[in-house]
Amino acid sequence: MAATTDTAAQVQALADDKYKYGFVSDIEMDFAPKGLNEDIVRFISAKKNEPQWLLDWRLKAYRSWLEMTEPKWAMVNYPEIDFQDAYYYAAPKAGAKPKSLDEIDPELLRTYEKLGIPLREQEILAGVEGSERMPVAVDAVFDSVSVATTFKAKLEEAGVIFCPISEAVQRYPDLVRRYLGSVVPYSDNFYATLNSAVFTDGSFVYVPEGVRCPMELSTYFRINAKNTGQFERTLIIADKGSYVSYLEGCTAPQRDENQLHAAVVELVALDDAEIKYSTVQNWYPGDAEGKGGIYNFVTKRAACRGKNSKVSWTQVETGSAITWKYPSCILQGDGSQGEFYSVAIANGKQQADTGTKMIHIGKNTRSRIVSKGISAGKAQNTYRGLVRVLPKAENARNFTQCDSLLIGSTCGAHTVPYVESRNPTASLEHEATTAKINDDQLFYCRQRGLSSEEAVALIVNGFCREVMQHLPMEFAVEAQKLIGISLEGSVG
Amino acid sequence: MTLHQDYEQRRGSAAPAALTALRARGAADFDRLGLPTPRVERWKYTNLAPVETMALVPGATDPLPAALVAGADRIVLGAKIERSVGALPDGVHLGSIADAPDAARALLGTLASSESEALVALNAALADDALVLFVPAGVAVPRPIELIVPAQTGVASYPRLLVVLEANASATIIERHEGAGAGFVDLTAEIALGAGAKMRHWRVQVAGDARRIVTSAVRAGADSSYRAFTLTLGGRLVRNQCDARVDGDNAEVELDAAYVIGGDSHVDTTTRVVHGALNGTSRQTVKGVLDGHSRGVFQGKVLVEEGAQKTDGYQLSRALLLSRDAEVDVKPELEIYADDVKCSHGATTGRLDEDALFYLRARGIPAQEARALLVEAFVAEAIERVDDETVRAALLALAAGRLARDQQELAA
Repeated sequence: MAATTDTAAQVQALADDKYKYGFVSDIEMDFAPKGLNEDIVRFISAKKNEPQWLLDWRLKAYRSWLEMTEPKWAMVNYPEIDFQDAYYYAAPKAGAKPKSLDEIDPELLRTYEKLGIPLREQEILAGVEGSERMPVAVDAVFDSVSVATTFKAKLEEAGVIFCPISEAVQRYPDLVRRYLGSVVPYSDNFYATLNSAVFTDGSFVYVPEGVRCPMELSTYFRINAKNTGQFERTLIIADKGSYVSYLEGCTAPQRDENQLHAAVVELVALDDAEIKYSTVQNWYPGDAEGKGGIYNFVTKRAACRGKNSKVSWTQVETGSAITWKYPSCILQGDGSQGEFYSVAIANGKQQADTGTKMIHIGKNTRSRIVSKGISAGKAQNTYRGLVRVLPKAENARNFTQCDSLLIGSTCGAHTVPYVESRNPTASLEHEATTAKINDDQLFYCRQRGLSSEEAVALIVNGFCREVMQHLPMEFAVEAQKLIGISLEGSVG
Repeated sequence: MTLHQDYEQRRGSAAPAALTALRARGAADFDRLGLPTPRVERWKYTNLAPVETMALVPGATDPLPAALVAGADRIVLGAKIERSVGALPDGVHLGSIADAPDAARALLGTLASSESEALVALNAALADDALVLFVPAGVAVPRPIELIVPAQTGVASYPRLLVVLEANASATIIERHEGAGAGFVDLTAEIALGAGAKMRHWRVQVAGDARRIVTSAVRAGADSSYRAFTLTLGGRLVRNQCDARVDGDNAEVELDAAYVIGGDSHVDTTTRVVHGALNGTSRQTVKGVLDGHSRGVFQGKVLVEEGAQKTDGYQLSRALLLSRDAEVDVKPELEIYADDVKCSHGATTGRLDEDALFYLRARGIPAQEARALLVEAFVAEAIERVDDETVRAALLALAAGRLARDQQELAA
């Protein structure tokens, strides 16, 4: 095939030949034109100076993507996405961004204020023009550059690699080549395949054997935190006996010019390793009518390859117009463990279809699922999960608890669990409940002087407690506050 | 002859005039739909490919069994409807659709939609007759009615049943799926309950090589009560699917099932309860014991429509795997659009409780006997849901007999 014989030089030549291939600028330009074709994929790869194997991999993904159709099984409705009407590499800066905070949805600003976010940081989060030249988001609290440097030194000392994935491709090509796509193959599903073809950046983490990562790694502190784009790719490898905790996202609502987000996260845990992955997702949910909100179509999967390895997913999902996300664990190693703790809040016209998959392959594998869904307003919230026990998974254990809370009579809460067992020694338990906020509890709180909004926030936080306590300290306090804010206007 | 060839041959056959419209619509729908494949979400766990290719060559007919409940009226839903029924209260119709009251005839084909369900369409297209039980307002049918649905080797049959209970009427039907031969039965039952009506619907399916798809569509009016229990003791491929709609306020729907299977049995229980009215209650308890290479499936959905406040829905699915090669797939589903509701489900799969086994053995009960005792107790818990003492005793005896047979096979 022509594609496989292309060399990097040829790609460059193609990119340079602007008239023939319709490019409006030369290779030095910052963005590719709208639309998606093989040339765009080659352009992204060339731009990142990627080796041939990675380009080939991207092209394979692109060609499979052409054969695929969008999944329709989730309980979400949205207008048809025109994949040719999007930028796949850094959209042009001019015109797209608001000039100042005055142009931002006042609702959004109100929320920033409540979370106590400094003005300059608000501008960055809201994507105001020019704000990206300012220091990173946390500058109001302390000098992030120096913090980042100190952190880097500390990580290097421990031997932990934590860098943008594009940098890892250059510096640690063997590691990336070995693990990239080994958990989520390029042909996995429509959005993951699209991501494989056009991913622009993301994080790469490698924790060497026996190392306990000295700090929580966070995209919040990542030097290259901004403009990772809509097709983020994260790869985390925990070598034998290591431990790492990774935090993603932040509690402040982030505005983004890209409506479609299709990230892929791959985790690999080897013998006795443990990965803890926490997410607080609060992308812009759109205005009151749900317009302009982010579509969050994410593929997250962990492979517990080693004996007694463990992966724990904790997520607090409050943002996005549509969430389509099923962080999963493939429990391959004997004695490996998977956990999934989730709070999903949908208010206004938000739609969330989220859950997990636990695939038990090895002996004595264990999994635990705790999912709390809250629907308010006109939102639809679905838990969709799979627990599968394969014939060799002796003594596999699963416990699943899915609770849904309904606030208001116009929202929906749905539970769609699949439980498949092919081993008699496996013991699987699943439990789900749906109810509204208890009137007695509400009355009790009101009687003690709490406003109905405060009372709801308190009760919902109690409902989510089991999940919240698995969040790292940095997130827990803010996330609690966030739950209250997310539900504002849903009672009364 | 394959199922399709049989279908082509029979689709134009003679039938009562009351069925003409139903048959035409069914055939049109079935031609459009064809048999579902596992790619259809509702049929994810049950593959009908073996049904499509099974050889339909009539063989010997099994003799009919003795009555389950002494004194019951008996009807055989075979190629023809055979009645042996005592005197019934005035106004009750139990027989062919041909001479059924208009009030019942008007409902035929309105509850079970052939539009999206191929097996209902196939049944509609080929139904030779429909058995109608019509009970006028306020009348109680005094004795249970036993329906015998035989599966005969090499024969595909499409029995059709329509039950209409008017306001405050009541009746009990015992549906017995007999015949161990490799036949195919595609039964569709439509059940309409008026305000305050009460129906009990007990079903027993014997072991053997038969393939049975049983569809029931229930509409429960205000204050009505519909309780069904199905005991499945085997069968090559069995699917019991029920679509029930709580249509009036304060109605109650209970769909329970238990199955004890081994060998190559495949038993699928698929239910969908739609709550479309206030203060409805639905209950489901499904318990399965699986041995050999058998496979059990439970798919249950509770859908609460907007405005169906004060709904109370509960589903419980428990499966006991006794063999390394058995498989169970469970999908309990909640879809809820009203806030003032109480809905929950629970599902467990596993093996016998080792502690309970140890307890019994410590008291001098041999391992095999202890195991049998625990399995029996496990199944009995579901059968206890049957609120008719005579029927319950008969079902318990059947289940115990089936388990005893397994024990003998194990010992041999």
